[in-house]
Amino acid sequence: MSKEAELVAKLQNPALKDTAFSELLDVYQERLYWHIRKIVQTHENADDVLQNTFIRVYKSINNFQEKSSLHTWMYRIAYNESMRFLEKNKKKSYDNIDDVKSSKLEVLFEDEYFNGDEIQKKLHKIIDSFTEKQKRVFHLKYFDDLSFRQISELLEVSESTLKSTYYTVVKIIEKKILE
Amino acid sequence: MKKNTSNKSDKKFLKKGISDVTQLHKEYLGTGIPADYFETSKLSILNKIKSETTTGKFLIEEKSDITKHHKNYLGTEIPEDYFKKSKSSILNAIKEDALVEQKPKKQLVFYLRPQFKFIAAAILFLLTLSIWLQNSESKNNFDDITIEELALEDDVLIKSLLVEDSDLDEFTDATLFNEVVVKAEIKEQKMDDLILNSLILEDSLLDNYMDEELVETIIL
Repeated sequence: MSKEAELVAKLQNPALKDTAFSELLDVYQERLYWHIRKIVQTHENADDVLQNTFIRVYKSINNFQEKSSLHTWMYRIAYNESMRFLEKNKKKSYDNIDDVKSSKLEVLFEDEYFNGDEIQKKLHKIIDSFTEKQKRVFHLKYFDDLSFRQISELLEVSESTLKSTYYTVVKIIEKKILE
Repeated sequence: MKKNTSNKSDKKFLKKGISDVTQLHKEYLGTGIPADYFETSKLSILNKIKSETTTGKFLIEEKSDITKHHKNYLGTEIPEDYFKKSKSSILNAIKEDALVEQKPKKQLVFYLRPQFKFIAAAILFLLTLSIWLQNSESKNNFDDITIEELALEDDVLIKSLLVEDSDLDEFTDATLFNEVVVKAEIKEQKMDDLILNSLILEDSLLDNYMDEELVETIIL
């Protein structure tokens, strides 16, 4: 039995659930935080979404049927929670999609927990110019350090497509960052 | 025999070969290795293979660099000890959530339950509808209303809010004429008729009486 399967079994056992959940937090909290943070941008928002994500994981762990790996399942929950959060906030604050796009980076640059220099700001702007799919692939590979196999399972896209997308994005970034 | 000799020499070569490679490198190239290196290295490789096949690479990977990586490339930071605090806040939130779910739901009195509310609302609606239908059937149209049914004071009060004073005066005069003068005239006429009738009636009765009295006294 793999360590992940062992953890799932403990999470689905009411007597061991709380201890196992603490273990789960140790393993995934940081990874999921950064995955969420890149979508919702500010620390405050990421904190809210991270909490919602783990509450949902805790509540739904009994429905987890191991059709995918635990981390894939949790990344999906984190992504869905982030999108739900953005959707909710978009309705509150913005009138059109262009406002959302420009405001997203402005909000990040003004965040208390952003301390980027001009190069880092430039990288954010370059990444922001990509499509949602390209952005996700680049983030998952370069920053979240997932393997192509894991990303393929998560996004349900073939590994070869992912590789081609990733290397295209990397080339564009390298070219644009020097301009 | 020859074969046996060659086997013997092969074994010797292999044995000699393994120990000699390190020795050869040390003697000719001056390259050494730590004591018991191959023993510890073997254990380390076996452990790595074991852990990778049983746990999957993802869980055992070093994760301490993620935050640093994000800070270096994206300039994004987090508060000090954030993950420790966040862990306890998530665990607390889950506990609170579980407590809320465990609390027994308020038991409503049967007539306050939603299904009874709907039934009561439906009954009330039907009752109101039937009363309204009955009233609307018994009501006359405006055209059918006789002048007697319109009370003078109601008309005056309502219309006076909307009508000019001069019109109202005209209306009041006309109504006064109809109500008082015409009716008084009619009553007076009736009185005259009564008196006249009574006079006529009295004369005829008297004549009859006198005739009867005369016949009776003469004949008798």
